[in-house]
Amino acid sequence: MTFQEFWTVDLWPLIWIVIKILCVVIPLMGAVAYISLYQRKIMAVMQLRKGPNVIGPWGLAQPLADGLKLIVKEWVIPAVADKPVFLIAPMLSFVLMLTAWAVIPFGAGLTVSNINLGVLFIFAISGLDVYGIVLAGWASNSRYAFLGGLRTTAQMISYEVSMGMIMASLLIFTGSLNLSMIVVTQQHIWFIIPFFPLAIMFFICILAETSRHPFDLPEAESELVAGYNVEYSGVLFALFQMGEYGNTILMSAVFATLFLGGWLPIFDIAPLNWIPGPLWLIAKTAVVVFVIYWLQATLPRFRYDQLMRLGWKVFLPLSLAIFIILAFIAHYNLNLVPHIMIG
Amino acid sequence: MLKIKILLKNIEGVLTDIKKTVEITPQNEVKLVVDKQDLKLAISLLKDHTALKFNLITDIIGVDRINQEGYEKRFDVIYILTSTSLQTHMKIVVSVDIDEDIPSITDLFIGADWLEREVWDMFGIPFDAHPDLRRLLTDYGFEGHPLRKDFPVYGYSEVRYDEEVGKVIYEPVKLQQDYRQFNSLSPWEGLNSQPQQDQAQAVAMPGDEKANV
Amino acid sequence: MSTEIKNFRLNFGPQHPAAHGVLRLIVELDGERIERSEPHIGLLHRGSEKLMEDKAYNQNVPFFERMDYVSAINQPYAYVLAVEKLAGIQVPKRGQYLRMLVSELSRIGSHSLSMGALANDVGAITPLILGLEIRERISEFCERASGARMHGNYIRPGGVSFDMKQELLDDILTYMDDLTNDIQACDDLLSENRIFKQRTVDIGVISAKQALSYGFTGPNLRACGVEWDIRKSQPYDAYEEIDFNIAVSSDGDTYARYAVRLFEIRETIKIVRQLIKNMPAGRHKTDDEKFTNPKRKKMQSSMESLIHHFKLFSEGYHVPAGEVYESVEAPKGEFGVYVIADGTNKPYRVKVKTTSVPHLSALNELTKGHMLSDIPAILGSIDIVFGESDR
Repeated sequence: MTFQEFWTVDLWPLIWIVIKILCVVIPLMGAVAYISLYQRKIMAVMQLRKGPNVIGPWGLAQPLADGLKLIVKEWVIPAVADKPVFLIAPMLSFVLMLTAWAVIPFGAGLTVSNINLGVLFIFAISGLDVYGIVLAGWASNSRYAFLGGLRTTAQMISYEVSMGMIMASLLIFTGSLNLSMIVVTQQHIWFIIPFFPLAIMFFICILAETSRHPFDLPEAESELVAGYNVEYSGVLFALFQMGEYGNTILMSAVFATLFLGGWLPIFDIAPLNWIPGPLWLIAKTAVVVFVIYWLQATLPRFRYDQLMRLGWKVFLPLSLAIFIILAFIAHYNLNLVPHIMIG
Repeated sequence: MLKIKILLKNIEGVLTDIKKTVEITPQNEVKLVVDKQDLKLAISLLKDHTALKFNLITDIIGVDRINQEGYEKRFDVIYILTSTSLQTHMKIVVSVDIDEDIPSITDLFIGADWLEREVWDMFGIPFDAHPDLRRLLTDYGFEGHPLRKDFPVYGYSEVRYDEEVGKVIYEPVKLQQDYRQFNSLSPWEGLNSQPQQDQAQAVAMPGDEKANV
Repeated sequence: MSTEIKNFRLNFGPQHPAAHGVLRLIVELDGERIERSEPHIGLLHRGSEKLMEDKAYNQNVPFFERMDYVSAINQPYAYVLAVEKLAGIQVPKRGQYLRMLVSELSRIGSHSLSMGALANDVGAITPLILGLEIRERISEFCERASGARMHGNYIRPGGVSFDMKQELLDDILTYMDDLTNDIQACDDLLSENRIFKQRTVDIGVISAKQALSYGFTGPNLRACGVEWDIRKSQPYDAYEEIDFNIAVSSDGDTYARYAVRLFEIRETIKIVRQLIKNMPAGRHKTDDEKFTNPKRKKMQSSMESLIHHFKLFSEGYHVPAGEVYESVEAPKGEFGVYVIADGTNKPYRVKVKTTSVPHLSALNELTKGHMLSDIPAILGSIDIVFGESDR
């Protein structure tokens, strides 16, 4: 094998992949840092406060200060903890969050890996996410962390089922599991309009999946102190926090891709379609994240049993019913409104 | 005032079989003194009788009478009951000596449970047939009964975190200087407000003995 | 093969964000269902009652402010009433009105914080911030009246320590309009919120009979359907002249306790408005210089005033022998003081009837059979403060 061959076949694709990954991960890290500021500012505005405003202009350096504090802080590992698992859990949670970004399309052809099973990939990764939390809860050897871990497992598993159903209903119409294809099908109309009930249900599932309000039971600070990450400190805690914020952004981006037309502009007219696709995706994601934090500032938290009841007795039958109805429509090619609109 | 007099009559009428003294104190409160063996009967009658209905337990108060004159027994236990229909309080006083026990009224008022535990904690008055007579407010493993008059204000043991042992330890109290009682009684007004005090005795003020040294 | 199934035991506290202080609650769980919960109190026991036996009557007032630190002004009120009754001190009308005014303001502060804390305990953050904001404004008024935000030592035997300027009264009156809006905002956020209702309705139910047997008082008793308010039944100071309603609910659950508090804030606003409108002129405290300190100006010219001042702050005053129980309607219930005077300048015994102890003692009854997540909701709704229950 000549060097030329080695370069074109093996090395250059590898370097190209790394460059592509860095293009996603570096801005993502910035986003994860600044989403905490975004959240605090939103909450502050809703509660008639000022929010962080001391470090840097408008508190812009606050995330950096927070990060620095967590990095230089001592790691406290409980004597009774299962040390290897205790260390692996936050890394797992963080790495899985990063992995899922591989399939998110930022523009036409702008994706790290344009695989045909994009939706399934995201679904699989978010299913694995639960391991980080369960392992953390188990390894901490604390009762609060353990309860937090148990709750998360139950919560994620039950909402993943209806989430899958909702995704499947969409797939009937798109006919593809490729996220880029799904975006392209939305060229005429965003799916949020014909599939509005599905969109709402999917959004609620996102809240449960990323354990945001009103489903933030795993870390309900008023009863479980901080849930599964109660024993974590320093960088390990930072990894959990980043994983959590990253997941919030990820799921918001998935929602934007599935229902809000991904990188597509609102209207395909002159000034709007000059704006590049990634910016559109970022703007849409920011709107979804805003709604998530809006709910956090407004709603109380569900109780564990109420959450389960909602998941199994309301969401699952409802999403199943919608799935069957949509399948019926698709199968008999009924000329109903949504079908025509999707074309 | 009239209301209280009627209440007094009613109480006397209800508690006919019980040896008691009922009176209105100068502060306009109804005070009932009973023996400890009659206590439960008296309270259950007061609680259930339709004319009275003292249905709310307000407080149980222990008093150490050791420094006061005119009391035969060491402790008084004062029960304050409230009638939500008559809209008034009344107090029931029972005297006990040290190491004597009192019947518990937890079966009449569940709320008496903790109140009796507190009296036991603070004064060491045991309650007979109390379901769970543990200390309420003081530390786990505390010794003594702090509201007795012979218990010093600064207590007996102090607690601190010992760096060497790596845990919290208990030590006897060490005061840097003696505890000071600021008893600044004055000869002019201190006497006037206590007309019952014997004049000759009262003139001897703390510090007078130094005058002739 | 047989395995022994053990209940999950959780040590809820003493350091727990939802325990509202230093409550140690040992909870036995079956899954997330509570089998038994046993509160251990006394971790904040400071021996106030013992210390009070060693201090002169006027030095004891601050001890009471440090009991229920959430509504600091209401606690010395009971003690001051008891001392006044024993010593026969007459308080001028304006002094009475000012005392009622600050204690009602303090009630607003306590209730708004407790509502916010309840909302926070069930997961809503914003009402807590609103509640703290209200409390902050009330604290500012306390500071303007007494010089201290929380422990003002404002109510003293014989009246209040300083007179309130008309300007301050006007500001309080203006604030009552803002407060009405803020309370409405809390109401809008919570009262009809479905999640809030799911978390509070039928949680921690107690019947009126049981509540009386446990010795419940205040909003917690009124939430069970017993119409009992010391301000109505045994009016102290000038409460007879005030027109207000008391809130009663018959459900006895967490939501009822919340609703009763919400109603009470609105009634309290009414009371405050009446008090300021009818505020009489005159002195804010008694002229008897044996019980209250003379004016600084007078001390510079009058020998007698100087002596009075010195005596008051060194020896205090002598209270004739007697025993009295006086209680006030504190925000959390009936707060009573039993004072035994033996004729000297120090009380022989002071017993504090706390509002929180009866409510805490019913905790096992209230939480039994509920989920772990209901403990914070119930604790938040019975509104306890450990400075007071532990003394």
